[in-house]
Amino acid sequence: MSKIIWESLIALPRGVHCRVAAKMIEIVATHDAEVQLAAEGGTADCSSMLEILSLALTQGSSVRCTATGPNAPQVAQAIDQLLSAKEEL
Amino acid sequence: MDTALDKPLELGEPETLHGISGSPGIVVGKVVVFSPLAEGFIRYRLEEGAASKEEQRFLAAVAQAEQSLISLRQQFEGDLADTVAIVDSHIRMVRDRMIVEQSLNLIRQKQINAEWALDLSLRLIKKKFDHIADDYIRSRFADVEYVAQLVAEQLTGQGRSFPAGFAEPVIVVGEDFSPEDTIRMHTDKVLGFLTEKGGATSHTAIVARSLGLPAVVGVADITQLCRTGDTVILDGYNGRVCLHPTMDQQQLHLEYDRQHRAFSDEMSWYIHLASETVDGLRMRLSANIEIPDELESVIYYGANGIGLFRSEFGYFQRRQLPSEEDLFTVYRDMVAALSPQPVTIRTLDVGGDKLAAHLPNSGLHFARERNPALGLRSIRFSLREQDLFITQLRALLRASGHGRLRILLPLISSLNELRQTRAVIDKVMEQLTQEGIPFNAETEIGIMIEVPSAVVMADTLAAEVDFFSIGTNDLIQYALAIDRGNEYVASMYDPLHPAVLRMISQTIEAGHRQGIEVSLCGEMAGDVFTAPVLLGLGLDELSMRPSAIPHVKRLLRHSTFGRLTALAKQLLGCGDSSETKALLKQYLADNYPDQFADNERA
Repeated sequence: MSKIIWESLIALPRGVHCRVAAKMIEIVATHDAEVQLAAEGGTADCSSMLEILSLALTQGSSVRCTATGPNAPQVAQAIDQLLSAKEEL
Repeated sequence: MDTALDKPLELGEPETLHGISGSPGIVVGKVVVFSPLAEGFIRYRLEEGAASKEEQRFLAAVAQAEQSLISLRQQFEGDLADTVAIVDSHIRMVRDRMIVEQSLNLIRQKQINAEWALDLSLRLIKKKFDHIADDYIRSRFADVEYVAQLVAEQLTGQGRSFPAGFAEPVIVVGEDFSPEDTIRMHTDKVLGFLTEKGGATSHTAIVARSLGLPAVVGVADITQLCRTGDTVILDGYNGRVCLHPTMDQQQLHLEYDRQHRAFSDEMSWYIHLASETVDGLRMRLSANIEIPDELESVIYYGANGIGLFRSEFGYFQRRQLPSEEDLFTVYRDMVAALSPQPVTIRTLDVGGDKLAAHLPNSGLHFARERNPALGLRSIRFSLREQDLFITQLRALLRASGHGRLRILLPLISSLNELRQTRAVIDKVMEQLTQEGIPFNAETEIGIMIEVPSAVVMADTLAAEVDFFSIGTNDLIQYALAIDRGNEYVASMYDPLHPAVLRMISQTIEAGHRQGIEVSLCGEMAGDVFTAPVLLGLGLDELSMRPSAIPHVKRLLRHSTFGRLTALAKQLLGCGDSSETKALLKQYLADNYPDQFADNERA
């Protein structure tokens, strides 16, 4: 069981909207891990699209992430890559 | 050809409704109206011990709603990626713990029925979303609402019924359409979309764009104003709707659409080019807008700023007056987005026939109006209802430090009126200074030249303002004594009347003698038939609807200033509009044969 804490800076031009949130949920669901997010707008569990959206992660904002579980490192890498990409993949 | 190209504007005023362009294109067709769903549901407290049963009922509804989304998703074919993505996110949302767990908790803890619990959950989610500053993310609350609605329908058993197919192609009218709605209605029979709600990022707009169908969104009360079976023209380029159009108007619009499609490829070339003549004379081509959402198209069409922002929208969109803070946010964002280009904001132009019930003393004022065009309107209204005016001025001045904001005062008809208004502005500036609120004390203040007396006195007025903006729509109406809404005289409404041209010319001369800029912001500016004349008269800025800018720029870039001024001089010498039109037609055919050779106008 490992636990990884990191901070991602949102570079996506339109921030974290539905489609990005959906990808985050998918990443977490397909790996054996749980991810918690904390930002100015509050905290969110990375399994709930509405909680993620309600953090209002716009371009330039930062989010503190905590991944726990056997696959935490892979999840951490995938999510950080997604959030800090300059355009949506 | 030019008529079709750029003139879908001359429609009977009473029948033309304005909204937001959701997706480009023009169609004429019959409408099918979907009335908004009735609100309201039963709320009741549960019997003791019934909570777990109610939880099951709720979960079953969620499962059914989810299943209906999934089966729609499966039926769905084609490469409408944006639309599919929305359905996918709805599938995720329907199981979201903010909806499901929260509702289950409420059922158990408060012992209330599932509908009630769902509604409470929705309110709690709304509270969270309301705090979000980002418009795009905040507006996603519409998706949450939609998904909750699906679950509620399963609970109450009253599904939203759409006809499985229309016999003939139709324009669908409703509050807003979700992607699921549109899939259910079989879009091969849909000509276009027309909705009450929404902006450029609403569902309907996204879906319409991905389907390549025209859409006009945000047309107030449209579900009340038209009935199934009515014929309308839906102009997705300009966000306009024409109810009960004549055959001529229908022809004109379809031709305009054909032209537009042919030209649009070529036009996109001009978006990034400078607005100047062959011999290097530059002129600002800027945008007229009514709502902040249009900012996107202002930038898209390469406008050199905003020449006219009609600030009324903030006062008519809601039932209550906007606060200083509301207005400030809108003005600041707009000014900052376009900085360093100028953003010209016209102060409230209400009164006369444009009154809303929540404006101060509206009942009183309205009852007295026998002749709205000549009544208590515009700057006269603002000077009478000064609290309202001061709120707007404070918001404007506070935004003035964030870019280049210009304040435009409408309907000024005398020097005295101008001085009264400036006194109010001075007072507001003093207030702000005392409160220590920053603003630009050098904010440019200009007036609309739209009353004949202002034209005559332009030299005197020019000494006390920073710029003029000629509003030809009203100026023509007042100068020629023509009400465009009256079908018997509408044909006499004539922008090329020599009197109109001379008034414009006099105003420009008077302004330039005092060293101030003169712009023009009527519909004439965006008409490729009349624009050459205006270019030749020596205006500093032409302001028009954003989509017209590339057309006028193309014309400008194919002209020389020498030839344009010669044309203008010739027209000013004409005695009648039949002469001005003949001359102009000849000029256009000689100078732009590719565009105007088969010109049938005039």
